[in-house]
Order: sequence, then C-alpha cells, then structure tokens
Amino acid sequence: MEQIELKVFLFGEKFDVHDVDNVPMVSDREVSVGCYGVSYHNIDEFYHQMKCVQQYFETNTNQEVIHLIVEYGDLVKDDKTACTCSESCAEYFIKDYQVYYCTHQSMGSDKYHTHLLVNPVSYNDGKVLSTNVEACENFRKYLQRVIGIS
Amino acid sequence: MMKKKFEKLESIRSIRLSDEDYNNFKEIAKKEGTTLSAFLRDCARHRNNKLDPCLLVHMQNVANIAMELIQRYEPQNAKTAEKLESEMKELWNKLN
Repeated sequence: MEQIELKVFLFGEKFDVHDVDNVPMVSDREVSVGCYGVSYHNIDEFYHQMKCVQQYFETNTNQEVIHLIVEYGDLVKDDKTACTCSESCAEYFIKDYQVYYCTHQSMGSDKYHTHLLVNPVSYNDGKVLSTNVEACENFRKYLQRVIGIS
Repeated sequence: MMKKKFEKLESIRSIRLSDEDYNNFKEIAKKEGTTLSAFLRDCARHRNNKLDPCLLVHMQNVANIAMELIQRYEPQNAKTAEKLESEMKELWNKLN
C-alpha cells in the first residue's frame, strides 16, 4: 500500500516567514499556491493576520505557525492532481484554522509535495490545534482516504 | 475562547442577571466548550469591537477572490486590487 509521507515542523518565536519557501529546497518548482482566511499576495501580511487571531484570543502557544509537508511519492504524477491534492490537504483545516499552502515539484525529480502553514489558533474559538502523534496520524489517515488510496 | 496561559484569576465577584440570561449564557458557553466565566470575560473584553476573527477570515476570502479576478481579467486595474488589500489590512489592524 502506498504511504503518504507527512512531516511536521513547529515554529516558535524565531519563525522567519521568509524562510518558508526555502524549506526544503529553494530550487523546487512552484506548482500552485492557495490560502484560506489569509492574504496570499503578501507573505508578511498572511503572517500578520495569523498573529492578529492569536492576539485576539490572547492565546499563548508555543508555536506561532505549524508547518506541515505532505510528500506524495509516486501517488501524484501531474500538476493538476498535485493541485487537487493540495486543496484536499487544506480542506482538513479550514473549518477552524487559517491556512496558506503551496505545492512544489522537487528539483530534478518528478515527485510533488505540499507545504501547509497553519495557524495553530482557531479563528472560531481560539482553540489550539493539536500536533501530537494521534492528531498527525488522523490527518494522515484523512489524506489516504481523500486522495483515494486503497 | 482561551484563557491566557499565565492569567491569574484571583478575583471572585458576583453579578446580577436574570435566570433567563443566566441559562442562555451558560448554554452558549457550554456549546462553545468553555465556562460561563470565560464566556463573560471574552464578551466584556471585545465589547467595543464589532470585528471578530471569523468575520475577518471570510472577508479576507472574499477579498482574495476579488483580487484574483482583477489580476486575471483586469490587470490594468492593479491599483484597485492594491486598495482592496490595503482596506483589508486596516480591518485586520482594528481587530486588536
């Protein structure tokens, strides 16, 4: 059975929003960009908008932004499918959390991956998104279901 | 609604309210997964702010769609998109 690779990075106070595109490789080809509840025309602005929500709820989290990378391996072979998959990834969070996402094709490879930057604080009620093992496993199972792996 | 991590809730005060209000507030707090005290504190803190994050998130989504349409179909009107972005920025700044 094909497995989706899921990597989770938790950024604290020293998070530099401008480094987002440098993870993992600066030379990756950008396939698509999307967002929910934040501006994608201005990277500083989207970060500020996430901070505004955190300040509103006066939530003191250890993470300013949660960065997830979903690697599709051999499951995704073209830009269109990669784009659809990235939207499915984002769908998991958007009911409660602001998300900025971009999909890349790794340099020198035909493999695709999606970066998801998620505000750990809910815009609905300020609840903090869990990033424990169980939460990550639930997300991975969701991806396997919606991307259609048997 | 979240409690500040290091917030000290040392002061205990009684307030006067009708049974109906009490039951309504308690019900709302329960639905939101919080306590009556936390619910009332949150209402008081944000009483003068007609904006809330949920509303702004939806407004931002609408603005994003509008800006995308401008970029795609009327790129000559880039200034309109810039104005829209600037208006949204002002609204986000008013949140806190």
